[in-house]
Amino acid sequence: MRYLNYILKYIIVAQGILVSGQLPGYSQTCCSGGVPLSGNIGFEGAESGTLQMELSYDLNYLATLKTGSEIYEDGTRQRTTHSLLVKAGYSIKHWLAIDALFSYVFQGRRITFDDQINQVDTRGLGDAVLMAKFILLNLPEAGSELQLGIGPKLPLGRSDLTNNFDITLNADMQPGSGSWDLITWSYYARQFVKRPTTVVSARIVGRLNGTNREYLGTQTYRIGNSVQFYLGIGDNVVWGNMILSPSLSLRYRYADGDQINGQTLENTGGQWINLLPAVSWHLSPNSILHFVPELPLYSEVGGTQLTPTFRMQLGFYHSFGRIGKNKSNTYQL
Amino acid sequence: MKRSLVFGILWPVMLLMGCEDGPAGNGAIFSGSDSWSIPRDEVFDGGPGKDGIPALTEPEFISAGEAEYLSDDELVLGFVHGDEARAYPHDILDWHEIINDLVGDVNISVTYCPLTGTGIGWNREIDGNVTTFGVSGLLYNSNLIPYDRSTGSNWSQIRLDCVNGEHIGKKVEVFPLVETTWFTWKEMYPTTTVVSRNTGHDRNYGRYPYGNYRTAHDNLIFPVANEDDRFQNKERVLGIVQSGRVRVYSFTGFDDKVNVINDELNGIDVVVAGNREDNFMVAYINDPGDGSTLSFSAVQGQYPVVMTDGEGNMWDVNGRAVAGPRKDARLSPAASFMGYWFSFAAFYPDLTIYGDS
Repeated sequence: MRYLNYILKYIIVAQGILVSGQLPGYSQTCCSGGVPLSGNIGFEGAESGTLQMELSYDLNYLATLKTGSEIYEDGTRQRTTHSLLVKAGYSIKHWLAIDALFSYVFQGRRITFDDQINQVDTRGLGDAVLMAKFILLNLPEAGSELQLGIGPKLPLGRSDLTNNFDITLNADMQPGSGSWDLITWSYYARQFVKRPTTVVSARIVGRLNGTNREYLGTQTYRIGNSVQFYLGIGDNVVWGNMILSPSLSLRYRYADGDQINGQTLENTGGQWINLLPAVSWHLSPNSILHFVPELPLYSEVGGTQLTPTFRMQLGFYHSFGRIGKNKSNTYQL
Repeated sequence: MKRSLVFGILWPVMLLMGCEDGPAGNGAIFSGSDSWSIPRDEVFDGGPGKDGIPALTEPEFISAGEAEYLSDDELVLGFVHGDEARAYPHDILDWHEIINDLVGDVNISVTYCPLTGTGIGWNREIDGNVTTFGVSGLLYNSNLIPYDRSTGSNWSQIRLDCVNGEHIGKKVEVFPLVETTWFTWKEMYPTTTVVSRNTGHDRNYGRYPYGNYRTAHDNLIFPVANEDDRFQNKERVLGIVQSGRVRVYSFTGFDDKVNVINDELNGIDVVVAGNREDNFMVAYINDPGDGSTLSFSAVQGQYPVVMTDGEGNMWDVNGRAVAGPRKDARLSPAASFMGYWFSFAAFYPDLTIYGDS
């Protein structure tokens, strides 16, 4: 347990560094069309022996061209990222769990110019995240839940894909980043005393990125470090014979600029505030279908970038084994 | 439970590992063919995509007096045909890279690569057919690859030839441009017009879109084939490309008045005129059209005239005799252009530097 204390302190310190070091000082090249890994890792706490699984589809549609917070009237450029995400988590002890997230990515870039459309598409296995989570407080027992997690992002995805003419595409169109990164994760949720089905939650996810040392053969590429804050509230409602869990979350994301050969790329990084009105449908005590649209409220990008116009996620969750009686209803995007 | 655990961990991995990586289906539309005259593995996707940086075609021009948006120290590319002078500002070219224009009867494409700092005037009449050039979104040695919209062929801006497609191997016909400050250009040609910011595209032209790139010498975004530390990477130099031989001229060889260098490159006599303070260098082949060679010297304070010769002719910055016995004669334009030092070193490793022994 002494080592556990060290690990927890490390997570807290790492997140502190990320938060204090990043704000607001500015992840993907030329736009924010990256694979949504760090925002999707981490299940809520469950009793030991529980296996949690989730399969989801994530759409990120980018058609808003901005400089800083100024929007350009330009409908010529579109980027889409379709991600299939498979997430699994296993609770080893009541205080320890392991989560894993795998991805498969379809990316598209469309330019419309003088009524001609130029489309480039790529697809491939994306990167993955493994995370050890430490459950310090458990919702059913304490009325609140506190988890800290840390783990690597594994560069399983390729970062050297070419187009049909064997020309290497840039980092933005690659399914993988080519780097080992470190993810830190903390999650807090609390029930309302008078209405236990209502839960407020907060989440901080940090990402300290490593460097791809084989970018375009001879270059180094490092995606900017990022930090995300989530704040949400959710509840359970009975509608007919269905149990629905509506929730509302606010997401703030800050990303530092990417670097090539140690030099910061101008048109990368930024900060984004999004609203996530979500709904989950409890198909059974162990199965949930969820839908999470994400609406941009504000963003200030580094330089000139395409930035998300709309995002959504559709997912199916299932747990094998025992699950906590009072799951938080604020869906973790 | 154990069976569930094994299944739960393995199936997503199996599911995802079973998928292929690569370009997807029917996408990846780049024009051209499989055959390239440059190493294809040194051609890279720049990021914005084909036409993601929109070239302009026959844009609106305004008078110098109306161009309040341009500060005097902004760089422009100037072109003169007949009595008409036009300026193409860097701060518009940074966002569009190519301006297809018609000046009198001349179909010109002003091509500009912000990453190599090279601005070159191209004839956009190819084999008698007028075309326009667009931005392919591809880069070779960090340099712009324009494509022609008639055939989709890809061309290398600095190599001055077609590197892929129907026109592969064809050379570019170059029109002389003068790169200098807006102040100097107005002084040379007070009646000049300049590209309006009313381009039909919503952009912040007052903002340079590449951060500190112009001055950060270590900041090269894409790989280049050869590096050379005789100058700093982003130092602006003039290069003359003559039959595959290249010589580079630096502002360090000029002082704050008009200077003229009579030189010889690859057996061809050339003349270079420049002024460090007024921020221009131009080069011409020393042949006024009759095969003779002249001995040029500098003229001060008579812009656009920059040099005279032993016959008493007065030559302007565009290589035209504006007074003297050869009035209206023209010096043949050398294939010369300004650019960042690293770009010449990348394309032409065997280049020579004027003044080096």
